Amino acid sequence: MAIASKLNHEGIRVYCICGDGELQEGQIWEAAMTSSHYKLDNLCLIVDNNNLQIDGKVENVMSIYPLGEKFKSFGFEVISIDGHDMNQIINALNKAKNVKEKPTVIIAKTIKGKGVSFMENVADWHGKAPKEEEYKLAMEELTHKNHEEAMI
Amino acid sequence: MNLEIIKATRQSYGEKLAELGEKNENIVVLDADLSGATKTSIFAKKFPNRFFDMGISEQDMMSTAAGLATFGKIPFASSFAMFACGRAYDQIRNSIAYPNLNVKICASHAGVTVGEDGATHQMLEDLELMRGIPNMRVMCTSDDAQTKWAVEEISKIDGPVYLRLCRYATPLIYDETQKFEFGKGVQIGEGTDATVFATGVTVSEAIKAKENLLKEGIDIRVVDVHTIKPIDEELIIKCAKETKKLISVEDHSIIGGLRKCNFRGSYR
Repeated sequence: MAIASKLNHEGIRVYCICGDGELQEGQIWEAAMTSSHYKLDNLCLIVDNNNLQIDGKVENVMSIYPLGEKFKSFGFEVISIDGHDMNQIINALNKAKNVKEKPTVIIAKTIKGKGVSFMENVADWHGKAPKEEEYKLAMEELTHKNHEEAMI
Repeated sequence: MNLEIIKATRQSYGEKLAELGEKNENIVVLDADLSGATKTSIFAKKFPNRFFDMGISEQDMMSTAAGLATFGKIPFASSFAMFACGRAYDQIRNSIAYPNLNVKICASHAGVTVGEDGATHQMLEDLELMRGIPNMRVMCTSDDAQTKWAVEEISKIDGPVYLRLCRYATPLIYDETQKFEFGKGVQIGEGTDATVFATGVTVSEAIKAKENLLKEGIDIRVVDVHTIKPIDEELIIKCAKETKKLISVEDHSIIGGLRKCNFRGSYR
């Protein structure tokens, strides 16, 4: 898409969100090579780096680290942020827009299941739906938390 | 059939692609470090800005082709059949065929006729792999005229197509006046003793066999199955009724080859 946008002179920016576990796939690095080879400065990759995948912690299953260095050596501009901080997210996206001649990766550190006490940092919640009671509890916690934040 | 002049279908593909590139600016071509062999190099020389060498990364080539198609381009992605279909099956299925994107996968060096490149390069399962994917049309052409027709024809189809091409040079079977139709086989001769179904490089071999068998008083008909999917069931049924015996000649594993298409057709 980023190549097509350049061919068509459309000025469209392409945003791609990846999990961290899937960076173990070989194709990701094929695409990373292509992105810098074709100087795709209209491409911004965002890595949701919660360090959990289905079988457990990413570093225990198959380490992808050091991540920033990997992307840097593949020709990316690397920006690392706290993925739960909206100001940092906005600043990073703005910064990526001004990068020339190379793609950008935003490595966003996150906590899986953030805001729900029994889901936070538990790999088991990767791909299952909560039961009715769990759902209610989760929604209560999220609503309560949002309300508290709004009061501040 | 002209046995004197031989030409590989990959050469015909490369020449026609470069010609089409002039008529249609949306045609873009991708290759995975094999442009000299797949003959996309002819297009690359003429239109360097619309040619993308992806290096030896077939998976990314297929995904990039899918991305280009979402922007209205008509990507032709080429490599050897083994690497295009084998290595990048996931990307072809999920990124190209399921979303029904307009990508043409034109893979050369299919079949055992690759020869000295050896077993690792002799793709014998591609027709089965590609035919099984929803939305995918599958073609395999037998000579220069048919390949050139097919390349133009598939550029007009809105959706994914797999075109199987060969390394091995084969005789010119058809002259320029021959008419082809997508999804319709070409019946060669009116023989009634048996029907031999062939595709790609095996068509000229079947025609040679037909000529030899005639000397022994056996008159077979040959059907050139250039479109593997959708298969020409009507013609298979007609031949089954008229000749009773159906034979397939394969440059592919028998499992999932033409034989399977014929059986499916003749069941009805």
